[in-house]
Amino acid sequence: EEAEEEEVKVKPYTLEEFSYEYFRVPEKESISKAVLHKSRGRSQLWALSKEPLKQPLLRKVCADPELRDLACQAFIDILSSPPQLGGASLTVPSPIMKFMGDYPSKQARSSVELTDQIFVAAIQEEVLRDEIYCQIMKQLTENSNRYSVNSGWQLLWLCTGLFPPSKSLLKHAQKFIETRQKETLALDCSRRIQRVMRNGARKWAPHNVEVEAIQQNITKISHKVCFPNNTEQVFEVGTNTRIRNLCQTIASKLQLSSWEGFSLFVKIADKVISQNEADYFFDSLRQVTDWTRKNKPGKDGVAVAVTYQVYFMRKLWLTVTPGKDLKADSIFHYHQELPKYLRGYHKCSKEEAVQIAGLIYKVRFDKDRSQQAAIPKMLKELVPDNLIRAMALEEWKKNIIGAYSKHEGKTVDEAKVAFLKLIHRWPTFGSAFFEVKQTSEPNFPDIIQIAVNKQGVSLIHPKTKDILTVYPFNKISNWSSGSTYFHMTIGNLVRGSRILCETSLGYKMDDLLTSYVQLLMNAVNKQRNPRLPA
Amino acid sequence: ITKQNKQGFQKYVEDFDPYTMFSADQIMGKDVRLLRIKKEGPLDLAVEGGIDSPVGKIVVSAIYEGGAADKHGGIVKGDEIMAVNGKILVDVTLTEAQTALAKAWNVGGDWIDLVIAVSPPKEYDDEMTFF
Repeated sequence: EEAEEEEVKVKPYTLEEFSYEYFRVPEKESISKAVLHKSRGRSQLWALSKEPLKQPLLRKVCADPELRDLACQAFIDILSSPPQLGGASLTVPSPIMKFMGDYPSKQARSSVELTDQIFVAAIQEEVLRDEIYCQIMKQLTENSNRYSVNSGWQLLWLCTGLFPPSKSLLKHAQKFIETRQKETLALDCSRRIQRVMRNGARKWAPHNVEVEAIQQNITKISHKVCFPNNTEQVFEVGTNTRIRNLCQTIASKLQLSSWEGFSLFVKIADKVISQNEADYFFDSLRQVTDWTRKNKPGKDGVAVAVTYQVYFMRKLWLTVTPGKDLKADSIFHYHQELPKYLRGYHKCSKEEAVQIAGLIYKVRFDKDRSQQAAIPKMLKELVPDNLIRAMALEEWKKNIIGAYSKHEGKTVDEAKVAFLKLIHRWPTFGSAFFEVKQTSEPNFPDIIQIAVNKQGVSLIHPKTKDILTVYPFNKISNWSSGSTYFHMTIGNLVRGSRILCETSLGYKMDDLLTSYVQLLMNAVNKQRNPRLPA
Repeated sequence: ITKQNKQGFQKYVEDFDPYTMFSADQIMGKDVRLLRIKKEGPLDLAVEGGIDSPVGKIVVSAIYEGGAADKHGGIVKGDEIMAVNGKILVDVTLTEAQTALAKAWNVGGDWIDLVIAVSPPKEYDDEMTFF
């Protein structure tokens, strides 16, 4: 045998050697089949099989009945892959076989359902990871069906992005890939193994976007990211791109002075969910879309495609001074503060509202005075909701035109900064606002407005906009949330109070508080120990 | 008062008197109703809270589309569940409430009796947040 290998120098490496030590003993029936089929003396568990596995390949996996079933299931899906081959199947095929089109599948299932069957269990159970690697490599050994081989490499490519093989399998897997360099995905697969060993395994199975891309042999995914000023840009995201990396890339492309306080959000239906910067981008996306799907199952349990948008926005307004970072002011700060202002969340006088309306008009129409006649019609877009009735429409119009004429020399961006500077003077600048019903404090109105900003958590009277009380972050001892409530305790058990709110946005208040406290603690730690990384 | 939905069938039992089940303290101005939900498929209703949580009561946290609770239409997220099949749930833990609900759903009979306190319509807007 050794002489044979020397003759053909690039003979594709197989798992044969590895199998002697780690694979189970082949079944009797498969021996007889192998004999009939290729008239070789020995069954080759490490080479292509057209039949589902009755036992896992690895001895270690065979020992555990639960893992045994999971492993055999995965193999069925590897055998088949879309486009579905026609015809009825006699037995239930396995994911690995199905993905690779080696096994006819009766039920049409989406690719992501198949890749889930193959990878989800292995992500949770480390023992299964080698089993999946071995099953895929087995199906890529002595396989003459080009379609099946391509799908197999696509699976291996996904696999090498999710988790590395164990130490004992590593060198065999590498050799397996290296001796098949004419496969277009081979080089990338070896690189990905190195990368996933360095960066750590994924927590979730591939996202639909990833699976669909690799099925078209696209290894670089461009993803759209939206900004508050209604623009969008495309950024490259990979299997091992963390949210943090993407935020950095976006910030540098937009030439922001820092990305501190910015965050990536996923918008699905009416929910805008902030993403954890330490997570992998696609893990995070997967988590949100799965969660939405679970809360809104389609008819008869069929998965509905979830449409979503990725946003990059400021989340924490800790060190924002208007005029300091002009790009951030003009792309983010102005456009994020404007809707809050127009909803009437701040305490603002008529006179201030006139000045600010002049600036908003300037931003929208720049030098175009022809829209001035329409001011009464678009007052909602110029003046806070709660102030519109404070003056007659014509009076608003006259005053706003007067205020606008003072800003003639300004550019649009300068008008944005001027707007921010006016709002920046208020204690509610840079807040996320929540309208909630509170049931714990009889001295406060039932329905209150809560503002979370760098000062802490403020309770605001919904009509007068007076700040009733401010709880600084260091006085808030505990907080929790559910689907219908948000709860917060202030001070200690002896001299403390609590706030219980009815709201469906508890998860957001919870996350904001956590993020502010984390950022503040990081800042304190950095001051105490400047050598600590952020 | 008769409250009926668009289809015309009753959402809740009209002549139910909550004072036969609860004290005045427990009712305290709440709109308490008895619902009869037909056992068809899963109930698909999730609850949160409980006596040992900040909320102190059992609250509906989700109604899943297409489930029996959703089809009934008379119960929404935010409603308090006060009793199920005669078992009072006003001072139980979340686990106890979940067990009671599951048991009521899985025991014989075509209907489940649910006493709820309706959460008043929101006079505030908490759907959108601007960061």
